[in-house]
Amino acid sequence: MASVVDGLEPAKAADAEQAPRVRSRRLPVVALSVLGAFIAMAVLADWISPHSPTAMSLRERMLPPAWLEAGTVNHLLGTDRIGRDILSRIVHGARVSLAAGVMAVFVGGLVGSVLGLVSGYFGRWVDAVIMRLTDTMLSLPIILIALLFAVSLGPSFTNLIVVLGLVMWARFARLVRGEVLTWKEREFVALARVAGCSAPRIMLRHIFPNLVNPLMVLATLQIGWVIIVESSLSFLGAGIPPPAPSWGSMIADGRGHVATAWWMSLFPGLALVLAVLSVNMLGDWLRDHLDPRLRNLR
Amino acid sequence: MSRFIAGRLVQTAITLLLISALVFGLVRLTGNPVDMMLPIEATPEMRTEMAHQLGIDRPLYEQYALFMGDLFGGDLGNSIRARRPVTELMMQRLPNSLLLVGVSMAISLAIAFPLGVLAATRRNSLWDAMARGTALFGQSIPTFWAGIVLIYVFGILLGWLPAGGSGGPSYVVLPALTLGLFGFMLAGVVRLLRGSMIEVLDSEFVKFARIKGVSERAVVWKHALKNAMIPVVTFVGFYFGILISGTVVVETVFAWPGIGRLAYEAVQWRDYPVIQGIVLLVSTITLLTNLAVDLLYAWLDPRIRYG
Repeated sequence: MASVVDGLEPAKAADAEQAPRVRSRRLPVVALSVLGAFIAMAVLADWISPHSPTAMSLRERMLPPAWLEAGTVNHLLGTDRIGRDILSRIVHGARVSLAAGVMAVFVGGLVGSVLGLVSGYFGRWVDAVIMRLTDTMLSLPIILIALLFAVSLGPSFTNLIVVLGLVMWARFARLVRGEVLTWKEREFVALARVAGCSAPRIMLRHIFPNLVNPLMVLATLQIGWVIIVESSLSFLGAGIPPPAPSWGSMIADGRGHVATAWWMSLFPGLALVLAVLSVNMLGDWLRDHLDPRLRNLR
Repeated sequence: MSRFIAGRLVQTAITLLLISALVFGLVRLTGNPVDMMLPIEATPEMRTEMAHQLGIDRPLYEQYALFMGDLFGGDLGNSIRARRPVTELMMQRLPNSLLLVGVSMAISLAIAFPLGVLAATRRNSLWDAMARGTALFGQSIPTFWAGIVLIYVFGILLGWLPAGGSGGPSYVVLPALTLGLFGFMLAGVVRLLRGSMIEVLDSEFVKFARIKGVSERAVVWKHALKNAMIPVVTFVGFYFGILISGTVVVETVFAWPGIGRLAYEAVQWRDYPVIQGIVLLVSTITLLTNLAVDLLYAWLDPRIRYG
């Protein structure tokens, strides 16, 4: 079926024969180190951040970064509207962003994979129903739906994960279904069936292991996307409830003060971009390395 | 052919129905608009009265039947907050959003096409590196932050362009640049076009054209590009949907009076009918674009029907 989202399925087999790009074979060392630094920041936040992320100090409101005239070494990246240390909030915000990204992709990936396996394996009306649901999810305006979910379930970390997982499962379902369709025609699957394996066993033990590579690639690429959606929701006031530090809400806080305190939005944004950029670089590398057929993915 | 068209039409109709049910169910989870509209000291009687007026005290299936009945009559109900028809509110804002999305799309495509083609014809050159950089950065920088940075640089530091609001043509520049450069479309099209150009340039008919003595320029820009565009055009509906969805963030940043900001305000006020209307409108536009693209292809290329 020539639907618009078909590009999310693996490209034609002919692509696999194409010579792999030589340059992208190198391990993305920079991306991995940046990512490692962010993970360390998230894990060690309580020990390495210079101040508490929520400690206010009204006398030190909107201090500029240390290298500017009025700045102090005590607040390297300056302070926000109510005198909270920006660096400390960025360090703690890494926790929210990375955890939300990984957990939401896990939830969405799990639900999507199960539905995709069932849909591709059983075909017929099961497939028709699940694929219509998938089409529906994929044609919805995602930010709007996430906003609706977030507002209706109330702002909390768990709800955020649920929301992000819900808007994401469809991409996994589509990918897995497409893969299952090609694998289930293979001889070893027919043999397993003849040998009397049950349907769940064939799906999990015989088909699923072949899907690990494309799933890894999609999952990595989705993490970057989820981090952006999460911060957009926080920016719109529907993410992690304050005063917990989140990069998105920090950027939102600074929005009204760009003219006088640009550092309030700039630094959390830079952290966000660096994190997403390195996840995406890793994802691109994984794709070229593990599964070149997925070139057009995303 | 007619079977294919009928099939796609039925599919689209089912998807639309599913979306309407989903949206209807979802917005009713978002909390009670009565609590938002009445002061805290309102008596229970006043609350019941208000709920009755709004029709939200009836059973859900009844509300849904009413909703679907009205929907077929082109009536999306009244905004709870503005007390005006939702269609009227949306139509007032829609042109602004379409203008923003249109200009953004033009910016994306104007950059993506030359870049994607040059990257494919000169692989591992500077152009190729730029294309890959564009694809990578375009999907790694959130629009709301890019928007704030652009406001700071061009609106405040340089003072060249208005930082937000609406008015003359200069007001559309910054939001459109933000959405055009960082709204996923540029990154997606560059990536897709580069990939499919490479594939087409390796194909038999391009070799044949070269053997025939067609100039390299004509081979690339006429023969190959025409075929390489197929996967790109297939995604136009998809990207259109993403851009429209992106207007929620960009219009909020730039105070642009479009449908995205209307949606944001409606969520803040729990204004069910407005959210319903916007989600339905945006999904319908996306679905119909997809349908049109599919039908156009089936007509152009009979093989697709069996694909």
